[in-house]
Amino acid sequence: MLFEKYASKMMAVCMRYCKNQEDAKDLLQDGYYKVLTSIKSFKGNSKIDTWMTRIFINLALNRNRIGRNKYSHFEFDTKFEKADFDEEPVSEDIEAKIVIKALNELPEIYKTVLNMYAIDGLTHKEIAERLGISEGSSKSRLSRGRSMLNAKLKRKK
Amino acid sequence: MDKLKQIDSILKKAAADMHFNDAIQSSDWDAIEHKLKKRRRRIIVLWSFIALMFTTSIVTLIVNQDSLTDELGYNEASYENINNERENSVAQNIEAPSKTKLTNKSNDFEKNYKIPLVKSNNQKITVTKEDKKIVNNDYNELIININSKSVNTFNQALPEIKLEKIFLERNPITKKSNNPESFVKRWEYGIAFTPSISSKFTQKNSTLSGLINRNYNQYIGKQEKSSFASNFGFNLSYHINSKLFISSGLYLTQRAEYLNYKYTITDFPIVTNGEITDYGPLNPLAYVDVNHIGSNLYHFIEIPLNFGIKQPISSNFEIRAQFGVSFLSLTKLNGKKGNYLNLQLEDLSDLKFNKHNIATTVKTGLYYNKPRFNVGLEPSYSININSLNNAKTSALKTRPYAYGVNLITNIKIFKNE
Repeated sequence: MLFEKYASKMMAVCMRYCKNQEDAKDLLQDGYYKVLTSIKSFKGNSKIDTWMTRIFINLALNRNRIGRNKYSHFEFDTKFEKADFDEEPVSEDIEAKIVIKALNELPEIYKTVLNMYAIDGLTHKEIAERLGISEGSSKSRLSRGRSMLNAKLKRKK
Repeated sequence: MDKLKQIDSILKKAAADMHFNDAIQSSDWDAIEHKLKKRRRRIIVLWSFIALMFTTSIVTLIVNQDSLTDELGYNEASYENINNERENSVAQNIEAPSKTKLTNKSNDFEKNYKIPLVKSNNQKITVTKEDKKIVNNDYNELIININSKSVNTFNQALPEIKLEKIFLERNPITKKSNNPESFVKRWEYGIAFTPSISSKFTQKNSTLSGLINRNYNQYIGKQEKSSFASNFGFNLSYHINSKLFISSGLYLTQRAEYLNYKYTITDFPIVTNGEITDYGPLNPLAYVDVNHIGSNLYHFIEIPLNFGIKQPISSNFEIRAQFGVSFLSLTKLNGKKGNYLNLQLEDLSDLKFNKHNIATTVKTGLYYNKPRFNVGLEPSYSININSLNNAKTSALKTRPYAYGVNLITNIKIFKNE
């Protein structure tokens, strides 16, 4: 069954696009509802979990756009300083929890692009379409997001 | 900047290592299942409504088809209307072939196909409505179809019968209604009662959605369900013609919701710039247990304006369908409700609701018609168009709706009375 098999994976997706567990659970329920009501449109061109992930992402993005912060309450990080731009990459032996926590602390615009590009494997074109921005913006957000995350991880380590 | 590409692999690895099995509970699936069931119910209601409308349309079409055929009964096709030249050619055709054969044939018709073939000194044939298969009453193309056999009155000439006049006899039983007065302009007034099930659609108000407590949905939203309500009042309608009518009236209308709250408030929201930014823990001594079961009732005075169509389906029954809008004035509130911000239980009368509301209603059903009165039974669905909550002060938008069966009885007043 789709829920039993993929709920954990989808919850991970939800957690990455939401700030807290309550919001993520809301998204999980809405996402599964959407998946189950549109399962007929799944053509089998990709893996079912990839298709489901896309649905969850779209839903999270849509809800953020339409119902201002239905699932999350992000603020633009105005405290971000130039000093945070550190080009020396952090070492890979860092705990998953810390990485995800640091990711969640990023301003939404960077976090979303990082999530979509680095973890969910969307291209800049796809990201640009979904977020309603240019591919250039997507690239610059990714770059800035990487820097910010790198800086945060270094501090946490 | 390329150096930082390894952040991507760190992220990917971290995401793969994160497991949330513990965070998923059976209640999550229950909530999804509940939504799916609700959707299924909505689909069933929608399809039932479509099926009802479709059936109504088909019945209307069939009845109309019969009405058209009936109307033929009032027409006559006679030789007198045909010009002389054509009359001559008809006469030639008629006076054509074998006597015996044709006589047999005409007997066959009388015997087997029960066509009331009336010969009066071989002068006249009367085709009554019982034949019902006349497709054209223009004499030149008059064809009688009997059990799929087609007899053209020109080609199948009947020599011994001199056709002087063919006419369709007016058939007294073809009129569909015993209530001829139902076809005239008239007023109807009466009382109506609609027992219904009431529920609501709830949405977040995007401008204030940041004020909704993180536990609102679980503790309050999901615990508010549909409940019984009713609508009772005086109905007045004016029948413009045999098909259309307008109805209004004055009703006492209820919308309702059933609540089953059971939760403990252990924290309080911290609001900054009109948005909850954090939650602070309450002192355990200040925890608030909320246990509340009951129904909330919203009372309105309703003035509807509906446009309707009607179609007789037998001598005593007709189908009516109405669609329109109503003005609803909120008059009274009974009950309590959980606050979406702090989850505290509040009296409904302390909350701000829109006093003036607009709803739309659709109903269609069967009416039993007598000369002086009628009784109707019609499924109805009504939904508020605007939100009952005040959009400026509430983070939630609520549109109540009700579906039920309208029981109505009317007295007819005719124009000449």
